[in-house]
Amino acid sequence: MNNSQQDNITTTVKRATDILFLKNPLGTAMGILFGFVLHSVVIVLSPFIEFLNSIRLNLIYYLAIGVFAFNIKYYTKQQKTIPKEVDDAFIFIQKQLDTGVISHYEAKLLRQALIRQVLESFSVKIESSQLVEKS
Amino acid sequence: MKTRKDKKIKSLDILKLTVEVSISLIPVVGTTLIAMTGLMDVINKIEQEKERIEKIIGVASKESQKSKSIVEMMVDDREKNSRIAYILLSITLLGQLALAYLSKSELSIWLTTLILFLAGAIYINQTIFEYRARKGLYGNTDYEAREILGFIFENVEYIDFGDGNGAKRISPEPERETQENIIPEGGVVA
Repeated sequence: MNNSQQDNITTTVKRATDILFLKNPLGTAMGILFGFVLHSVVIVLSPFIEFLNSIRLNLIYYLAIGVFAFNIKYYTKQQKTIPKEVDDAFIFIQKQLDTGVISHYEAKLLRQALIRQVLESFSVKIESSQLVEKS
Repeated sequence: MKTRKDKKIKSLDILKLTVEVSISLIPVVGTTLIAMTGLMDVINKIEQEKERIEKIIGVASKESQKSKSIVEMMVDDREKNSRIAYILLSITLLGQLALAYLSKSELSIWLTTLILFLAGAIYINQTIFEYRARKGLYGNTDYEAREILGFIFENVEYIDFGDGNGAKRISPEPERETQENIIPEGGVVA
């Protein structure tokens, strides 16, 4: 198996497992535990509290609510984190790749250059703030 | 034969029933909404506490993180999260076993399967992530490059972006398979 095949296979498997809420494994596991505990509490207390009988659902619904609730914040936060101008740059690179103007290798280099530029801007910001603090 | 009057009475009955059902559902829906709001508050508090702990851990491990590249830091972060996820899934599994034992009920096969499947998927995801990072493949695609940038922006406060020599490295040095020179018996390697 050559490097390109390895790259393609591992990318596909990683993305496939990421879709199963595993990009945030901690949130998913917390959601499962939360759903299970909530379901157990409802089952145990339903003979004593009449209202709980009306929300006595199958365990799967509680698990789904838990997983969803513990992941929603992560996904909304992640969408907001990347600034618009950086996002536009990514879209532009992808468009150039799709239209065949640049190759996969060039797209990779451009993406890396973009990340490096962001990193450099942060290091410059930090250095300048340190200089201000010293003076 | 049904007269117009009968039809009118029937439609009035349906309307009455619908109104009664709607009125009886109001407290249930209201209480569920209140319960969900409370639930979201609890979740938010847990998330805040998690962020606070992460902040403390981030400050404590700042020195050890200094020499690492961004992708290596991402691998460490994911590994830490996966480890806690395994613990939480194990607690769920044990809780289910305890509940089944105490209530003398049957063990939910599909919940056990789901937990095992998730644990397996987390392991595969983590292994592939580490492999791609080690081989220098991580960050090749648009999706992964966005993940790296997302990580950088999320952890701006905790990462020391200066590497002593300009900005921090993005990926670690890729691991290459070395070809060993086969030395023929009595021969000379050129």
